[in-house]
Amino acid sequence: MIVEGQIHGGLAQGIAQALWEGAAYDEDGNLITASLADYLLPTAMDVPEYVTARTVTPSTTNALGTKGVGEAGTIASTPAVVNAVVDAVRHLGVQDVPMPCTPQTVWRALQAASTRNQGGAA
Amino acid sequence: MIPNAFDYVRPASVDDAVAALTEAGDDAKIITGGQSLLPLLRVRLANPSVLVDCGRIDQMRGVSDEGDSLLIGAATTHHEVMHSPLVKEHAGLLAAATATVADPQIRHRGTFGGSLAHADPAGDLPTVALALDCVMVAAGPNGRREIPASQFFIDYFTPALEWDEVLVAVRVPKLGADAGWGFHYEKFHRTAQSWAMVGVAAAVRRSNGSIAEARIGLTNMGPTPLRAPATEAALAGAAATVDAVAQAAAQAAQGTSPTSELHAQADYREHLARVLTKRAVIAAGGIG
Repeated sequence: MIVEGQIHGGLAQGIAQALWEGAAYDEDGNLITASLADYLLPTAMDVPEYVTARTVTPSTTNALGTKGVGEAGTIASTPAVVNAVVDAVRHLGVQDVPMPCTPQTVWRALQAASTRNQGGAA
Repeated sequence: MIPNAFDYVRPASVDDAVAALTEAGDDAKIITGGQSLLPLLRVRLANPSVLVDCGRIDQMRGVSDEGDSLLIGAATTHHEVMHSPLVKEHAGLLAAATATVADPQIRHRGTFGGSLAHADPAGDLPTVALALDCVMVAAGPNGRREIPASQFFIDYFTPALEWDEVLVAVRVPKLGADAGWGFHYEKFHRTAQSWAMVGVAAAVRRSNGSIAEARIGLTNMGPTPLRAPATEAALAGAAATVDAVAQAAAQAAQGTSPTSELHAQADYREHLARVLTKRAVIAAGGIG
């Protein structure tokens, strides 16, 4: 149960980094994402259900054979989600979408790709 | 986060509420559900000397049938509005949009009139009131007056209410399915339960296979809720096809003045208004 919960939380954190979380500053260096209304976090309603599986390979470096599990979900989920976003719009000429991949960021990447495509055709 | 000190009165009638406001002077604030005002008090953006609690005035609660329109008490909660059989039958757009407001806890406390009087351009219900041509009923020391929604929203958080007036009820014209009306509220938000980045309220009347009439309201596309007159004109008499709707929706951002912020700059908001208007009209009209 603890491992499952840690993985779920880690996945949510990694997905959040890919799609929502980002610290932004104005031109004078003031943090403009200083509240949770501006610095967005997903709620339980914003993340998908997870199907998890695991292997058991005890550590040989301590007597209990234990390993940390907390960030296992976090580390892989961010690139997985960003790659999925880029893959979804790659056929439209988008090569990269900066994190976090917000709707506006994806839209701008599409606009830029469309401008490039028109430039290439001309 | 603790508010500044304030006095608190809880009048039992509309007349008592107006008297309390008159006595308190112009830095009193009316509170009903407190879902918008309390956060402002806590960060001390609002510092009223007196809170006049109108949340328990029975005359200001409930939904009644007035023939051509419904009369909804300003202190009726969102929960009561969206579950009212009269609202569901005669004001489907209001029922649908109210169901998208925040979460169940807030909908049990927050009130219809409170969200209109708060006049937040990101609020869903001001847009619906504008799209449905609702009429606000306000009571003041000189009696009652009626204010059409088109004149009620003046600027950011600024309703056309005097400091000694109470919004007591809202007249909602009936637009029922039996007359051919269909509805949809399309809300775009970044996380579940957050404010609309842009929202579109659509009421569409179909007749003989075409679109007879459409009303479009826009959320968060300027300092007040807005209509989309160019789109409405293009839809009147248009064919009920996805192409015709797309063509009309391409004009939805005309005359708007959305603000820019980190997650939604003005040009992106204009894009959203066009896309969401198309979706809302297609859903409201059962097109495609």
